[in-house]
Amino acid sequence: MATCKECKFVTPSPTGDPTTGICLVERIQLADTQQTNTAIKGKMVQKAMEACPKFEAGESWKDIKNLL
Amino acid sequence: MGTTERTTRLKNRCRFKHVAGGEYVDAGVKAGVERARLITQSHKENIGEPNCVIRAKGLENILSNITVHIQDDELIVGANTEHPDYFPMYPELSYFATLDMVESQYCDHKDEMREITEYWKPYTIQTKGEKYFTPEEIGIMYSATTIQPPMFVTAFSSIVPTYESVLEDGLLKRIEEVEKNIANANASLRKSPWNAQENLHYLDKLDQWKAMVIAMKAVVGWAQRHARLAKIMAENFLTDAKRKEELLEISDICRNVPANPARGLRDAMQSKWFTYLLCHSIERYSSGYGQKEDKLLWPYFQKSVIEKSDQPMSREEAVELFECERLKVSEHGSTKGRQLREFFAGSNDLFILTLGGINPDGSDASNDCTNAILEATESIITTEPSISFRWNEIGNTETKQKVFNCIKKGFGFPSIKNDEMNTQQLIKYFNVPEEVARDWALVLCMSPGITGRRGTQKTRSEGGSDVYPAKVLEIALTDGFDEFFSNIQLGPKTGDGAEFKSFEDVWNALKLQLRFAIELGLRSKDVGRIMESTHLSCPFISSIDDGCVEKGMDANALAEVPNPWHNIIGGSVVVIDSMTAIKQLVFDEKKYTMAQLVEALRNNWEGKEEMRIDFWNAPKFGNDDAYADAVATKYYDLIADEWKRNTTYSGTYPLPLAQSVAGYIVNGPKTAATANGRHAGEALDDGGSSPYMGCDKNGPTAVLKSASKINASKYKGILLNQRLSTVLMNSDAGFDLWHAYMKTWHSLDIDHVQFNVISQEDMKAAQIEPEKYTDTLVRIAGYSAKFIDLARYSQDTIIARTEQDMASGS
Ligand code: SF4
Repeated sequence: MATCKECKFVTPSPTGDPTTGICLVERIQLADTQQTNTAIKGKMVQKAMEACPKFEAGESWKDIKNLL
Repeated sequence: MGTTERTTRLKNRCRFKHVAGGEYVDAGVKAGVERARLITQSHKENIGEPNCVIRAKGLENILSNITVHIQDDELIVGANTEHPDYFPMYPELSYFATLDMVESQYCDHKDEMREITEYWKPYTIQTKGEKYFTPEEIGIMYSATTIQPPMFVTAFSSIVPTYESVLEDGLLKRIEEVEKNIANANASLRKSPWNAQENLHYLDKLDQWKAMVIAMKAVVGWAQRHARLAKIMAENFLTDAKRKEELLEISDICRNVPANPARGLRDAMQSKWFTYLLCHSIERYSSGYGQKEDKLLWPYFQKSVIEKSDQPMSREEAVELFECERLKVSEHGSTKGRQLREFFAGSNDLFILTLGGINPDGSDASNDCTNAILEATESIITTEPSISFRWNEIGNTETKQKVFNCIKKGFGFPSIKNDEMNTQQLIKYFNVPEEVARDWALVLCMSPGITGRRGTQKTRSEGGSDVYPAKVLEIALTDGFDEFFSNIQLGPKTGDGAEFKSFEDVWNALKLQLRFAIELGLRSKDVGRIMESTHLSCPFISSIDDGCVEKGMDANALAEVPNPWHNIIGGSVVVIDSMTAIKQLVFDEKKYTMAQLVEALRNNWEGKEEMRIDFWNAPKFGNDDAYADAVATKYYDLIADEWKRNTTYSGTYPLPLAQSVAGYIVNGPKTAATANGRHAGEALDDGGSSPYMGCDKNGPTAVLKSASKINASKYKGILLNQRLSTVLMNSDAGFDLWHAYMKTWHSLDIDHVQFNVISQEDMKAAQIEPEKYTDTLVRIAGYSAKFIDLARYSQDTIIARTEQDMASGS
């Protein structure tokens, strides 16, 4: 069973603890009044957690520049 | 490009170590294992010895055995790892930070490093420090939501080494001095009659002094290894006569320094670089490039460039040497866990040197060495090291013009600090004698500390454990519980925001949540400091500090001149704007209730766009608006008062420092919707008094007027980012306009300002065709980065900053 650790959307260790990560999958398109276009609604995940249906395999660090 | 073919070649070949989205940009960057391997080997052999001796022997083993290398064209030699592509690892610091690196793509020696990481687990300062906190407290700190995880887990620290003593004395003289102290202590211990009160304190001091001697001798031996290597290369492997001669000179320099005093500028630059490597990244990891460089090098610049009496060189050669220094720093790999790599988006580390200001006698400290450093900066174009310029009224216009030249080119630095204000602060709050205070340099991005032969900033416990105020306000409305990100109780139960009846109720909840975060942060810093002094002695750093040598104390333990500060990172203006909107729309105009607001925030304004726009359009800080600015003043007074309640390790209270690094980007996704009309996840404000993106609509003077209403003298620093028009800055009137702006800034007693000079169009074009914009730099917060290396999200937040028109006069 895949875990968040193997998902391309997880940023490793954004906290003090490397067993956690932020899931970057959820995006919010912002209103025109705002100066930036999107917001990342970060969600803390345990990297050992079972993957959710939005899972995409990949090493997050490879795509991170575009994902962030 | 560089001013010479050499520095152009060096730049083309430089293995930059900056990061994007938390990952190193250059594909070849790897984790070096030699340092970790050698310190582990020595630790196993010396267990049972006092910690300072174990640490000295560890350093000795590293310096005697680590691979040394000299690259083509280099004039300044020495590195912290076995290969220019590598960064070192520090298994003795944090178990988590090491584990993170070992499991990353950068580590090729996974089995060996896993074994080393597990070996160190019980000895790390992380394991030692955690014991003094409950699991709940650990959970709060490690979630990096309301406060930064403590230094004992991030392994992040800062230091300003006492370069002066190495350059002036040389290590051999200092070894003699320490040996004299050992001899005197031994004589005293054997005096008749026996007096325990007078003598027992020598036991620990003898260990400290012994460790200092081991460390200094190892350093001299390491420099000699470079001298031998340069000589072997010159005599056996090189046919080019000029390079041969250069290598023989390098050999002579490394034979002389840091063992002896520096003779001229070449010695001084090499000795300074060796000292930097040792203090910041070999004996331990510590961030920063804190030094008053023009003051430090001026005697040697005079001897070599002006009088030509020692190591004579032309001014052009001096500029080339400063370019080489910038490239050495750019290639230098620092080691941080992922959380901090994201925090320093686009950079390698926080390398910031300080120039300008005044001399101890009150005269202008900008000299031709200052100018040469600025010229090298302008020509070589690297993001690192960043520069802070101490803006003093008496500073000469020629140097200020060179500062302008760098800013105009869009480097984002020098950043400007108010010289008189920061000097007075050191005198007033930390009892520093005036002539010593006048020699201050920034420790990291924003915090001034004294420089010199003793009592410099030695440990992270003076800074760090940042408080993240936007998250603090979020939980002040949700009874201290984080519903949005971590799902834990982050602070005390201060009530449900929906039931708050007055603005004072909201304010009081904010105050109590802040208090909790501040106190937990301070406690973790001071516990970290004790862990450092008992488990992470730094005998070399101690040996070059006059105070530590005299008192036989480790640098982490000694606190002669306290300099505590505490960062409030990204979000202060979000709090100010949110509280302003709450005051106006809920309590003054009564258009909404607290229950409606809390519900809307919880649902990220979903279905409440009209309401959100109302909150977005409420008065905003940065427009010289009395209503919003009054809330800003009240907020900053609260911040100062809350920190003032506490006393830290070094015996006084810390001054808050409001800035952001890239925390405004990283912490945005962890912070729910806020009452300034911001959505959940959206970035925060990028500094202490930088208006929220796009909210400063009344021109640059209005921003300055709003910023000036905060009494900056009560804070270590308050960061102000401004984006100025490329066209205007590059026009004929550019300098005069900017100079007039700076004079207004100075007359308003504002602490700091820094600039981005890059057009919206260029940034958007760079997003589409990055290959055409390889030298385009931008200012993030306390440091600069290459625009194309930033993650998309970070780029967008910089584009979103308002461009100010200095000529508008508003
Ligand atoms: S598996 Fe799902 S929850 Fe986990 S990181 Fe990927 S998208 Fe996020």
